This record gives sequence, structure tokens and C-alpha cells, in this order.
Amino acid sequence: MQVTDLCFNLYKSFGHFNTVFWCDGADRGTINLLKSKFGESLNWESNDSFGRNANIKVRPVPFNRDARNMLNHLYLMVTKGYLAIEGDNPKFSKLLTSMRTCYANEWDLDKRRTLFSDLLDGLRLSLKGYQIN
Amino acid sequence: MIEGPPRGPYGRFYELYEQFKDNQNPEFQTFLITIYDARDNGLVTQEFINEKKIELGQLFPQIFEGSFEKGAGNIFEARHINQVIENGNKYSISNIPVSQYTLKSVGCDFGYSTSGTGIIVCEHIKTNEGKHLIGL
Repeated sequence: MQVTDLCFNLYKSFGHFNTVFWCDGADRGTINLLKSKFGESLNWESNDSFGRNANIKVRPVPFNRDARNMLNHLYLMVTKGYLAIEGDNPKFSKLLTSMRTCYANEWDLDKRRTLFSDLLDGLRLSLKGYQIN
Repeated sequence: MIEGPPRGPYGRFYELYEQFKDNQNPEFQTFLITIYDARDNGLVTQEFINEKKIELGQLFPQIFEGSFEKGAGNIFEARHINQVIENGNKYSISNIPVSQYTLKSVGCDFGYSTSGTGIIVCEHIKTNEGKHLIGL
């Protein structure tokens, strides 16, 4: 199964109106495929403002600009006790290992020292959907 | 004498260990003392070791086996991760079905040639006590 099919199936199973996808903007090809799947405009690179209630489901994020802020946001979510991950579920063991080994210099993630950093990237992308004061 | 636990395959300590670990140089001698030496001398039990293996996962070799693994990070403290796990076990999706009406946010890090793809799905949960949580 292609990753775009996987995402679209998630969208269908979780509810159409309240599921959004935050994607690493570096892979333009996959984002274009995903946007085509969702029937969204492919002219997305000039628009990085989605608005609070915008109907854009696929939201590319420029990692080179936002990576540090996202790691800081993840840190705040964790330290303020807003995040919940099942420790007994083996599905999450790699993600928890990634969090335990998460190493950064001035909020710049050191991928050489962080295990399973792709999962940590997915987590910090997904948390862009939530702002809790 | 230079003594210490391994802290990842970096730094002078690692370089010296790699250089002299074969004990061929008469001026240097390396000793590797692991949790199994402690077990064999009656200081800890095998049950303790098994518990620590589950608790620490991939960090176990670094902390208890003297192995220069990629090590512990500098961002999250153990108590914070324990809090995340405690929240997760209390409000797990196994106990609470996924609602069609909550905000779901999916993070997709698409893999390139050698890197993997990471997809994380989060759901906003409001507990009976009124607490807001982000569950995975």
C-alpha cells in the first residue's frame, strides 16, 4: 500500500471534517500525490497559511524553518503533561525509545544520536494541530 | 585510571576504549564490568535484570552492559516520559474508542532513500475530570 493510500484510509476511518495531515514539506512529490488524492490545489508552495478552520487537509510544513519550534512545542506538551502514550502497547515502543534518546543542540534535533528520529519527526508534526495554553 | 559508564559512541572515552580494548598495549588495561558480573556475585537478581530490560528497552545495553550504544537524550527527563506513559495507560485507546467528533492530527514524515517513513496519529481527548490530553 502506498503512503498516500494509507493516509486517505486514515482520513476515511477517522472522520472527514476533523482530520488534518501535517507533512514534511521537503518531499514535494509525495505531497502532490496526497493533495491530488484529496482534491486539493497543487499550487501550495506559495501558501503556508491554512487558517484556523480552513478546509485544507494536507498541510506541508517547511522543516528548515519550523523544526526547532516544533521540537520546543513537543517539549512543552510533554513536560506540561498533555501527551498520552500507552507504555504497554508494543506499537509505541520505538517512539518512546526515540523520546528517551532525543538529543538536540539548541532545539536542533541531532538525528545521528536520536534513535527512530523519523517517528519523533512525525510526532512533532502531528502536534502542530494542537495549541494548548 | 579512567572509569565511567559508556555514553554513546562519541568522545575521548570512547576513542580510548576502542583504541585499547584488545589489551595488546602493555601500558593500558581495559576492564568491562556488566550487570551480569553483579548477578553472578549475588548483588542483583535475574528478575531485576529482566525488569530493567523491559523498562529501558534499547538503552539497557548502554546502562548495564557497558556497550557504547547511541545513548540517552538531553531533552526529556525520565519522569516526564513516565508521566506520558501514565497518561497513556490511564486513557488508552484500548479503553476509550476513537471518536468521530474529536480533532485528529496526523504527522507524516515521508522517508527518502535510506530514511524510514514515520506516521503518527494524535487525538484530542477531554477526560471526565476536564483535563485536555493528546492521545496517540
